[in-house]
Formats: sequence, C-alpha cells, structure tokens
Amino acid sequence: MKKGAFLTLTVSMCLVLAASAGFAEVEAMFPDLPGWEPEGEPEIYDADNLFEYINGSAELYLTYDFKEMGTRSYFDEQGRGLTIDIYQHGDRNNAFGIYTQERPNPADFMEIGAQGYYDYGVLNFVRGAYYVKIAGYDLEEFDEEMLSAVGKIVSQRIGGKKDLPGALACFPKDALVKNSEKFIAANFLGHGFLHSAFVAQYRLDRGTTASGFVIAAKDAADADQMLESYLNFVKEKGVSPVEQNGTYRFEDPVARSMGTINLKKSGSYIWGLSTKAESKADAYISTVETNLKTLKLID
Amino acid sequence: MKATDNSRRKFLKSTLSGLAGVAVLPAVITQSTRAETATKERKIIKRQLGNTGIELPVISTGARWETPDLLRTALDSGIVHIDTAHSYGRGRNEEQVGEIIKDRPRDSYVLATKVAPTGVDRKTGLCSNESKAEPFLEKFDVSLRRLGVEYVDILYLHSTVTRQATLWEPYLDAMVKLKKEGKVRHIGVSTHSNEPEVIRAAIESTVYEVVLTAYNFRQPHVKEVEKAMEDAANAGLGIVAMKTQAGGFWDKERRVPINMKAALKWALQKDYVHTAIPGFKNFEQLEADLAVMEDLTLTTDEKKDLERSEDLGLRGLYCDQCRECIAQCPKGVDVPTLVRSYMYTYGYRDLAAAKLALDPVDVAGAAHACGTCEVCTVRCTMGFDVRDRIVDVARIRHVPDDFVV
Repeated sequence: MKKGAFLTLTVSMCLVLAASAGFAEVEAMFPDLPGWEPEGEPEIYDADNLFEYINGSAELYLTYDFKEMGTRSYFDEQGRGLTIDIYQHGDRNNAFGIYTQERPNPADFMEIGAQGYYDYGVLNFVRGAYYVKIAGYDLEEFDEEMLSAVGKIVSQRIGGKKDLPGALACFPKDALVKNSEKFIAANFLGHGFLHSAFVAQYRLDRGTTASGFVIAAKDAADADQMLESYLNFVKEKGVSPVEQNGTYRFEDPVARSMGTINLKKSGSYIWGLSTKAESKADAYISTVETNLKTLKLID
Repeated sequence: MKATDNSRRKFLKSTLSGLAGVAVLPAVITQSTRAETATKERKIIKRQLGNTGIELPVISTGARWETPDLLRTALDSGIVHIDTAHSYGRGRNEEQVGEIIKDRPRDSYVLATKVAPTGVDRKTGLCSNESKAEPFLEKFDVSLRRLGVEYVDILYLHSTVTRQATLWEPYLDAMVKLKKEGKVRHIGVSTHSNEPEVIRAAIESTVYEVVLTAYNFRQPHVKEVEKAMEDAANAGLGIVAMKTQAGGFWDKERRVPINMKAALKWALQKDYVHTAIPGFKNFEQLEADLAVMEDLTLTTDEKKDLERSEDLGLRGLYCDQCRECIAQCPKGVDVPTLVRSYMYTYGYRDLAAAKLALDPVDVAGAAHACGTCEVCTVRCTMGFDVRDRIVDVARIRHVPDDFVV
C-alpha cells in the first residue's frame, strides 16, 4: 500500500476508533458548568487502555461489559476542583452491576439518576447504561451540595429512563435489606455455568441472613442447561439434591458459606434463596414465582 | 466424599471439592473449619520472594473473586499470598478480604495491598508538588482498618510508570516510616506500563524489596521486561508477576479465549519470577491454577496454543452470512450487512470495502435501533455480540469519503 494511502487509512481508522459509540457519546455528556472551567478536552479510555486510568480495578469493569469512559476535570476561580468520570457499559444491568460492586452499604443515598450516593468527597450514580463518578477537591463544607448539583446536571444530560433494572421487582420486599440488591455479571456463586444473576440480602428472624437470587437466562433452553449443569456438578461432588414440587434443595459443596440452596426454574428464569433458615425458603420461592408471573416474565 | 478413580484430573477435582487443600501449612488445616479431608499432600512448587525471607507457592491470588468462597477455597488449598489494593472496588475488595481472613491465624497468609500516589500527571506519569506523603499515609491507615490487621506483609506504591515517580522521596520516606512502625513488613512497587524503567528504578533505590509487574507472553517488549526482572531478582528483590493471562482473549470482542493455564505456566518458566497473581473467576479456573501450582511443565499443545495469534486473527470476525439473525431482530436491522462491514473494518482493515458494504443500509437508523433495545434478542450462530459490532461499525458514517482510499 502506498504511503499516502496508508496514512489516509490510518487517519480514517483513528477517526472511526475515536468517534462516538452508537448510543449517546460519552464525550458529549460532559456539561458546561457555570463558574467552572474545564481542564482540556475529556480523556477517553476504552477496554484496551482502561488499565492506564484505573489500573487493576479495570478488570472488574471489563467483566461488566465496559465499553468506554471519559474523564474531565473542572476548576473554579478559587482553585477548587472536581473530576467527572462517565463509564459506558453494554446495558443498564451491567452499569447497575458495577455500580453495586463499589457501593457501600449503608450509604448516604440520593435521588440522582436511577440511584446515587455521596461518600466522603465522592458522588456516584447510575442511569441507564452509564455509571458516573464525581470527585470533589477542596470543596470543604460545600462538597455534598456541589457534587449533588453537578450530578443532577450530568444525569439530565445522559437522559433516558431513570429506572433500576426491571428484574429487581421480582424480589419480595418483606425482610429485604434495603439497597442490598446487586447484579453479578458472570460466574454466579463461583460457577462458570451459572452466568449472571440479580441478588439481594434478607435479614430474617433471630439475626439469620439469607441471599435471594434471580437468574434471567437467554431462553428456556439456556435455563435448562444451567440447572442441569448445576445439578450434575453437585452430584459429581457426592451431594444429592432433593426435589419437591419443582424446588431443588442442596448444599453447594464449594460455595459453602451460602447454606442450603433452594431453587426453582420456570421458562427462562431460575430463582432461589440460599439460607441456613430453610423454613423461610418456600415462602420466598413462591413469592418470587408470583412476582415473575405478574411481570409476565414466566407463564 | 464419593470414591474416585486414580486419574490426576479426578483427584484434583475431588481434592478441591473435599476442600482437603492439604497444603504444606499444617497450622491452617488444624485450625481451619473448612478442611473436610486430609488426603494426599500437594507437591506445591515454592520459591523465595527475593531477600524478604518469605517462601511462597508460585501461585498466589489477585483480587477479584466472584464469591468469598473462592478465596476461602484458595486459602484452604495451599495458596498463601493475597493481593489487593486500597482502590479496588472503592474499598469493597479490602473489606471482603478482611472478612475472609479474620478467623485465620495471622501467620497463615501473606497479605499485600497497594496505595496509589496522588498528584501524578496522567500523561507523563510524573509526580508533582501535589504528590505528598500525608494522603498516602491516610489511605494506608484506612486500608489497615478495612483489612482488620495490624500490619501488611507487603505495601506497594501502586502503579508507577516512571523512574521519577518510583523514586519520589516523600513516598519512599512514608513507606520506610510505616516499616519502622511495624505496620509494613516489606516495601514494594507495582507497575503495568513502562515496566523495565520502573523495575530498574526499584533496583536503584535501597528501599524496595518487592516488585509487582505485568508480564505475559504477548508483551511486545517482553525481552526487556525479562532482563529487568532477572536483574532485579539478582539484586535480591522479590518478583511477583501480574496480567499473566494477557487479557484472557485473543480478540477485541473477547470471544476467542487464550489458554489461561498455558499462559500462566509460560509466565512461571523463569525461576526469577517468584510467584504470580492470576485472577480466578470461578472454581474451574481456581482448579486449573492449583494444578499449575504443582506442575509448571508446558505441554506441546499448550506451547502451540500460545503461538496461535496469526491463525486467530480473523477467526473471531468472519460472518458466514447464515442470515438467521434477520428474523430475530424486532427492529428489522440489516444485521448480516452491518456485521460484514465490521469484518472489513477490523479484519481486512479495508475501510473502503466496509463503507461500500454499508451503502444500502440505513446505518444511523440501525445504530439508533440498537440503542433503544434494552437486551439484544439476536442469538448469532457464530456467537458474535451483534449489537456491539453494529454500534461500533456505525461510526464509519462519520468518516468522510475523501479519507477512504
């Protein structure tokens, strides 16, 4: 290829690779902030070089279908600063997932985006497929107020729905630990065959805890495959699942901190409760099944 | 535990599942409530971590665990060294580690964490007047609290990329201070870029005892990295390798996996790599890593697997135009044409062909349509993430025709 053509191709490729993603561009989401001066253009990172920005933390983001992110700093006349990081993930579930991986609980929750919180000079929130992290410097007593205001501007710029993932509506509300819901992107319970899952924590009687989970498979065949793989796995390890009315119960031989796993499958969904308080499991299973039917996710 | 045959694979499976983890640390087994059986003792390959006096199995653990049970099982199975960092998961990772180790004897594990410098110019990697010791020390104290320990075995200055940052005095002084206070046993530096320069700076200083560096078979400058590591090891520094799996996939779409076991073995062939911290995301991967801990021999097939980059160049890109995707897309997007354009763009690097392929397609409409679906319903027979490819290749419409030859 001639040098001129090569250079043209190189430039073209750079333009393509530097251009925006298909849904709203990360770069375009950085707002003008009255009273604040941006420091240069946003820096954009993708899956190949995210390590350069957040080093080993990048691995977790990649698991959550990270696409690209932008970062930009702003300063005011008094030298106070803030940095806005906007992460774009593949979809709402994954953005929620990475947000919940880093979210402390308890936290100072705020109504920004689908959900947000303030934590010692940092305000993080999630909206749609975007996870936003805003850090303030030398804002002192105005810290929370300023970050909140900026967060709302960015949230508005992102636009789109403010809802949390729809699957969270499946979880029974009784005894649910507030804001404990998470999305695990892959390897649920440490098993490669279990894909992703929504999880939530429950506080039962006498301090007993339980973990609820809902797995949305790609389709019914995928759900069948996951369940079969799980049952075969535990049987190979010498554990015999007990089945009653479609609910399976067993102790996972490797994920042993979970207590007894109680799970059921219908259509493309598998749901269950892991707990040492087995008496609560049936009611949970039944309620989730009802919720799934109400949401028309299963027949 | 079910009776098994004597094949190596089944032994490893049953050993793992029985959580015997007959490591060479009897104290763990005695005090652990997790060991169900004590079967055959593992023949764990161990190396001295430089002049630190610490002997480690060649496999240690990085910081990502999809479930706490993974780390517990790893520790029960003979892994000793745990690596985390102040910034991982905004502190959730250190908290998770703390929760898991709290019931274990302090001398049964070797704990490392990392604290990053502040005020570093991202473009140059150089420290500035804002790179002060105070925030570093404060973050470290927070890390100790999260971990629930009085000291860490290794504290790394996290992720430097220049000699200047690696030798920045305020941080060296801070780490020496922490060591004198007994909060840190050994001082290290970590890097995953410009590794030879950072490693040589660590040799140059009289403070560093351990280097944590990226090292894998796909690094373009791997020979320089190896030379620097070897020199560091000869100077008495401990060498810990990370990113040994080279990203885990051959292709951008993360569809063609690298043989992780082979990549890990490759990284441990040199004696001066004292241990590696692969991340294992599920119990199968942990099992594979534990197998490497006992046998570093690269098989002929494994060597071939690491030489496949040429063959795999296009494998992850070729769409065979089966057209089964068409009926699956509720928005009527011309998936086959767009995915074919993607192949021209990234496989053949032929933008002209890529643009030509898109002539009959409403590219902007396709990208918009993909953006409005919460979940893509297309199940590509080749396993491609078609939405990702469509969104990516749609950007071609912004490239002026004048730029395309």
